[in-house]
Amino acid sequence: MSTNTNQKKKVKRSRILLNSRVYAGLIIVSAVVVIAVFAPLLTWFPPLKTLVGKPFTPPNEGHPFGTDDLGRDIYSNVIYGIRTSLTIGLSSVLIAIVIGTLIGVLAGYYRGFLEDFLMRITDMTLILPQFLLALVIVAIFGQSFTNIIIAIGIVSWPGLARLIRAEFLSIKERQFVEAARAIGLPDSRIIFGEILPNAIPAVIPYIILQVNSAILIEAGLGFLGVGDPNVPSLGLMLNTAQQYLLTSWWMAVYPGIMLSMIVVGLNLLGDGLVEYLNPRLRKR
Amino acid sequence: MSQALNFIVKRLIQYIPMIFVVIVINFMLINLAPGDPTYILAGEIGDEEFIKATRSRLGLDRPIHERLLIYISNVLRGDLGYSYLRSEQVSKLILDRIPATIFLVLSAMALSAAVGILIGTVAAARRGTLDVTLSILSLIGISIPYFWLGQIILIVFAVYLGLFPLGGMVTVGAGYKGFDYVLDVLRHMVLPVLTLATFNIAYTTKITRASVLESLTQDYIVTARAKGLSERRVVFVHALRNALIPVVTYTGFNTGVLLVGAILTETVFAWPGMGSLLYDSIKLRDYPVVLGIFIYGSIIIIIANLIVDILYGLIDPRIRVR
Amino acid sequence: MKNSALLHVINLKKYFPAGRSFFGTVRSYVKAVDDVSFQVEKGSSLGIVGESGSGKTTLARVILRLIEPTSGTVYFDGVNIFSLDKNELRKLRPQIQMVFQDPMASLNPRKKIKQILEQVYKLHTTLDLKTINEKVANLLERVGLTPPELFLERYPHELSGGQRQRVCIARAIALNPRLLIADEPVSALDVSIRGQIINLLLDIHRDFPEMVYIVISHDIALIKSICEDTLVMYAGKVVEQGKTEDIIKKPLHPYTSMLLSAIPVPDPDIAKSRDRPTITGETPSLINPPPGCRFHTRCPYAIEKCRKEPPPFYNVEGREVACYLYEKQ
Repeated sequence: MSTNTNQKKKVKRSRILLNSRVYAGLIIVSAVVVIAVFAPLLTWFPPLKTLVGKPFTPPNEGHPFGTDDLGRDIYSNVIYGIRTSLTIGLSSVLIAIVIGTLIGVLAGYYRGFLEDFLMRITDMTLILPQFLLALVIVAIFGQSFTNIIIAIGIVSWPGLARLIRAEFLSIKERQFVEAARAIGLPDSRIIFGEILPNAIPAVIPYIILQVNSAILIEAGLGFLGVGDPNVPSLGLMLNTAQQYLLTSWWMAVYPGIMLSMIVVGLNLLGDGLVEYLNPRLRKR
Repeated sequence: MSQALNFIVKRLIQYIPMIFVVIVINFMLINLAPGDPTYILAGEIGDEEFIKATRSRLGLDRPIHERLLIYISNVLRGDLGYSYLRSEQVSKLILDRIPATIFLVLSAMALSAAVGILIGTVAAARRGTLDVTLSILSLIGISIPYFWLGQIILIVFAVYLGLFPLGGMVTVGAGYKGFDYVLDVLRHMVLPVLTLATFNIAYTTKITRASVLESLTQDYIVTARAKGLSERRVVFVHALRNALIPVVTYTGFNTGVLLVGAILTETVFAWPGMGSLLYDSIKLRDYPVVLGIFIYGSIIIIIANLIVDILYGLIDPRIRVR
Repeated sequence: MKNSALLHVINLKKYFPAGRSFFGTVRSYVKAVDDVSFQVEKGSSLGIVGESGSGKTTLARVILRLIEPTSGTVYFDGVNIFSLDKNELRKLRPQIQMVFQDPMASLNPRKKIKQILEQVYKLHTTLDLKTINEKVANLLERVGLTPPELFLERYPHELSGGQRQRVCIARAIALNPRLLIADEPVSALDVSIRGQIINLLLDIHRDFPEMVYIVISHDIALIKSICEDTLVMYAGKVVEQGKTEDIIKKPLHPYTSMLLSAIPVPDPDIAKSRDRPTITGETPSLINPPPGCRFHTRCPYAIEKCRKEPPPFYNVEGREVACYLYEKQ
């Protein structure tokens, strides 16, 4: 049965690999966070200031990533752009968490009309393309930093609500919840003290992937020109770069690499957590 | 047979309201926006006459519930407004562009399905370094944003290597006909489709690999091997057939994401589809078109999901019970 | 309605909607508990016996008002528990407690034992943390988990099955309930552990003479060791009710004899000489129960009458039996 032992060895190797995914992701994401937080310390030109250097210069000593069409330093814009992406990603997901949890909990714990009504709304909103909807919202209500955060939050909450509701439905039936009711725990305590903590392992990876999605949406919006011009944004940079692809490749390459890195890090972390948390639950 | 019909009807009933939801959301957006909704619908530039005409055509002086009904009936009739900037009916503008986009999407879907399934199966069958490399590659593949990838591919293949044209669907002014025309389009198509397909290939590979891996641990595979079938047959014929189900599900329902991706990719390559139209309209502040693309885009996605859902239900009888 | 009984269940019914027509109206019901009545005196212990599907678990949950009844009343110490509002019900909870079947599932996997037990005190008393800690430690000792420090900081999955059940029992008796319901308290445990838990339950019964025990089980032997009185349930209805000893020595209802005959007896001579009715058939679906006596499809003594009308209770030798066999008495 040599195939069996071979397969066992491979499985073991992949188990360790899975854990390393979480570590790798964590490292990348931490690096990104550090960059975002310490942006001012890492740059020496203010990002949006024009003509700090001759426009369209390729990477050189003074400007490691080169300069763009208005003479802005691309390196500082990239660093601050990372900060923007992270801020928008986290803030919008926060909005989604607040709304989504509220609705998910209400729909999952209290059955009946409330549940049906809320779930109808959620399901319908889910089918709509997130990106397009966010685009339209920002385009109409004004291209500002806050609007973008709100718009992304609005398109993100239904997915979370659905997940939380599903978790609630399954956890609610478990015997320890019944036991909690038998002791006389009030509903609010049951929801937040008993059910929610047990829903977290399933919810956290999803949240991480949502942050990912939010960052990508913001970048996409920026790329189409729908962004706040007063805020450094990786997407907007790519938008500007588009016109000068033939001559100034550095305008596109560096922002994109950083963006991809953020996404890779979050993907690693999210995926790794999904697999890490599941077998652990199975072990019990 | 009636059970299948029953299922189709049930699905239609589920999906059609969503189209209404899209329209209603659009309506809400128009009216909640700051400023006079007329400007949104007429575009920001328009002379006095045009604005007055728009106002009366859309009944903007009437109470809100009447306006909603007028709006819905307009949309359903295909009237999405008029773009003053381009002197065209919005719907005509969009409908002209849709085929190009769908062409891209379908090509990318086909390519990614074929390649992804193949690679994923191979990766699952032979573990080891090949597998690890592929995993890393597919991780990178799903992480790179469409638009940036497009730019990089454009830079590398078109600018530096000069292998492919820089953009557009046809070489302007060349006047190719017949077979030459087809070849020309194909040449222009390669880079955009490649860009679009990358994410999907990576994701399809990932899913196929996971799915085939799981099938391979099943008992019937051990039986097949015991019967003495060649490894290749075992993997490709037996394991793959069952593993395909989640893959097909994913591919089908992912059309929406692909459509959005197409919109972004088109901008990079100036491919004359809905995406470039959207990009241009945003720049020109031609709101009626932007909103129109939102509606049509959403409707296309909804219909695509509906078709996949129905096809899926017809193929796999277990689903119909829902 | 004041009598000395602590618990008085009157005509309790719980039906669950089963099939629905296309328009959503309920077409049929699962009659989990169908007109059950009984009383339990202070300090006594009642066993409820039945197969799975007999409705005994649902009965427990309705008495605890974890589920709302379809009709009927339950008086606890003279108070109709279904007439209480949410707050009053919550205040009543410490007095009626339950030990559930699966100890692993009834403990929140993310809480430490300490937190689980503290919660009970924090919820219903105004004691300070120090006193609560003492009480929790005492509680653990009381149920045989000594030294308590060993268990306080642990999580449920770090304990053995028997230990977990002890924690559940501790949680149930923390506030000195007047009524304790144990639903299959040992069936999820290893056979070797069962004796210990049963002894624990007996100890507690002895230490709290005023407390009423209701033990629910399909295992008559278990009931025999703890309970003075027994209620036999079948398909949602009570079929026989009386002193445990009497019922076991001489089962009157045909279903009860069937249940008892399934218990192996060590002495082969006695085993041979026993009256062993053959067990036939399965529990009927509770959705469309056969008319008449629920048991008639499996009963070797069934007569025409049994198929038409459900039998009333007949008082025979100090017991209540629902069977036409005893009509003449």
